[in-house]
Amino acid sequence: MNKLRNFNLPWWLSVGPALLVLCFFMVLPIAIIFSYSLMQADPHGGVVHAFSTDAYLRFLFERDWDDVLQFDLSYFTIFLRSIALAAATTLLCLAISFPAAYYIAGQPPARRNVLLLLITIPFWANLLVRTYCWVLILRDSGLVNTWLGLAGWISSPLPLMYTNGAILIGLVYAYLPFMALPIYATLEKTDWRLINASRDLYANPLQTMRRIVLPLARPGIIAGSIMVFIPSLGAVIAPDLLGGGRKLMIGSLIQLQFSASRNWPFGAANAVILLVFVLLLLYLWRRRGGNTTGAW
Amino acid sequence: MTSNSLIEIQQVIKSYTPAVRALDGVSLTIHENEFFTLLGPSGCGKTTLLSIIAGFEKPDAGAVLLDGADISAAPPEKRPVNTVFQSYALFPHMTVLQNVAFGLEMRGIARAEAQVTAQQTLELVMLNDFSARTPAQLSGGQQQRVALARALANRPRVLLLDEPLSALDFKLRKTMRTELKRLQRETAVTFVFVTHDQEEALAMSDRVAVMSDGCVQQIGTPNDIYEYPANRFVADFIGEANLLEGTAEGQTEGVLNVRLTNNTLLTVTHPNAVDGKVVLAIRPERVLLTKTATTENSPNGTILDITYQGNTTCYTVQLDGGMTITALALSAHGGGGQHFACGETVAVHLHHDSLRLLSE
Repeated sequence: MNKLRNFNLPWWLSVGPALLVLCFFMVLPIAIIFSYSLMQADPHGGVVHAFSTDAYLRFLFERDWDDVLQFDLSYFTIFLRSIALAAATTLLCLAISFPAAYYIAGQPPARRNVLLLLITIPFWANLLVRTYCWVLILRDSGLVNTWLGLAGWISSPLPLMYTNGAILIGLVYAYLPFMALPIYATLEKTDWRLINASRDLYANPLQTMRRIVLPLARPGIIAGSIMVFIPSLGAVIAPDLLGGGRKLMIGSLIQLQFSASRNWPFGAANAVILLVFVLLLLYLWRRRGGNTTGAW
Repeated sequence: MTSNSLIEIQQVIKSYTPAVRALDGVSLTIHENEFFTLLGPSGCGKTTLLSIIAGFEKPDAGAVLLDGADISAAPPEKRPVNTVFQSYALFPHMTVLQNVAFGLEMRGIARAEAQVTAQQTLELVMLNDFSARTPAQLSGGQQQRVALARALANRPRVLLLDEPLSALDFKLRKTMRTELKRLQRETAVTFVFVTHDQEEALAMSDRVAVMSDGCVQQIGTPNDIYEYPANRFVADFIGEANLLEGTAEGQTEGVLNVRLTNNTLLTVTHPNAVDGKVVLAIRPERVLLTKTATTENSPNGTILDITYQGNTTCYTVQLDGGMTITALALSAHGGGGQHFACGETVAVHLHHDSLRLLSE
């Protein structure tokens, strides 16, 4: 089973490089972010090295002129919108990817490779460029509005840009392959004779899908959902370009705090809140008996 | 065994590629409560025929009748037919009990009731203690039994078995043969069994259809197809056979004279007059070797090779004038189990009742 053991690498040589990378590029930055989130903001950017919980308080409260904390949900709303958009992205990706992955897995091997290539082709172009294409499609003078205008179906351009819908399209477009590939990977390994067996045992195609195919594809669906939900929760490019700063998502909010707003601690606090939320979700998922490999 | 016809295969044709016909006009009748075997080498079309009965494949032409009704167009879930797959195809994400209850539930039987029936069926295959396990926790033989139970729990009109024993080791295979016979008797379900193993086919079946190249070569009881092979293919495929080529030279009172290519003249019991080139077949165990010749059908030969096989010993004999023949005899008590020595001259008795005239 464990063939790699035969190479007998010393542990520090086998996992050492990965540990170093993890330390320098994950543990250390997270530690820095966490410590910054508990410091005071320097109005010129950066932080003042003094303890403060202001950044976290700001997430839910606003200080009025008399320095009294007022409940303010505007940042929390951004957070909720991010979760809603990420959840919607995940569901849409699943709805689009599953039939596609199922279709591809049922093709002869040579065709499968071509179809998989088609799914991954967008990866070859920069995400920024690809997302900007959606701006060209969705804006007032864009493809959709022009065509609908020429067809005489609309008299004035539909407000497609700078909406939650626009962000959703951008997110689904960007993360679709992350859902399609893991689902394909599990379906491709599925023994298709099980489907014959199910039909043989009086299950119609719908029942076969629900009782056999979906449960067997579950590890792929879970892996894909995690791989779509988490990055789209923290996405920056799609909300920036397609939401235009009017519909912020938490990723853009964080980015804004480190750049234009020059409030590093608040940006750091948002990042920590996002991280804790994601970890909590994963923890809850595991605790209710779920795992990423097994059956329902 | 009643002789009510249950399944009728009528002139079924099936091609996967335009050039090759997997089934080339197959017609046969399977009777109610029968253990029917489709026997043939790989690629003969037997599995394709099974898939067509199950509904996984549609015939290009011809019809499949079940209880007199044409089911050729019905999808698998609409046929009262269940399959035991070669790979078992057990659902890995379900327990043994859930697997066995699946078909019943899909037919709308309430879960509780389905599980009771499933548990009873597991008792039938002696796996009552394994219902909570998953297929991965079972041995190959146990998985085989679950696959059987899963199919039998539905009490189908026909149970299709696609080489179910091929993945088992030799001893287990022999046990399962008896087991399958017992299950067929106890459930009174019609079994259609696909195999390439002639021994399996002879041991288990009520009737056997021998197939090759997408055609049925012969249908009959195991004894029929072994003792009276219809043609060269069947004689050669079922058991061992000495095939002797010759020319028919006239017939008198049910006895045919055949001159072999080595100029030996043989007489064969055969009712009809035949002309021209013919092939005779004789089983090695019907060939008798003695030191002295009799007058009829006993050409002389020289022993070329002796193979000791434990209970039997196989002798390869070169007939005078060319042509070799194999004789099989029970091993002798002494003398290394051998009745004769290599190079010894013997008389080869080919009794006229044991010789069969084959059509090409």
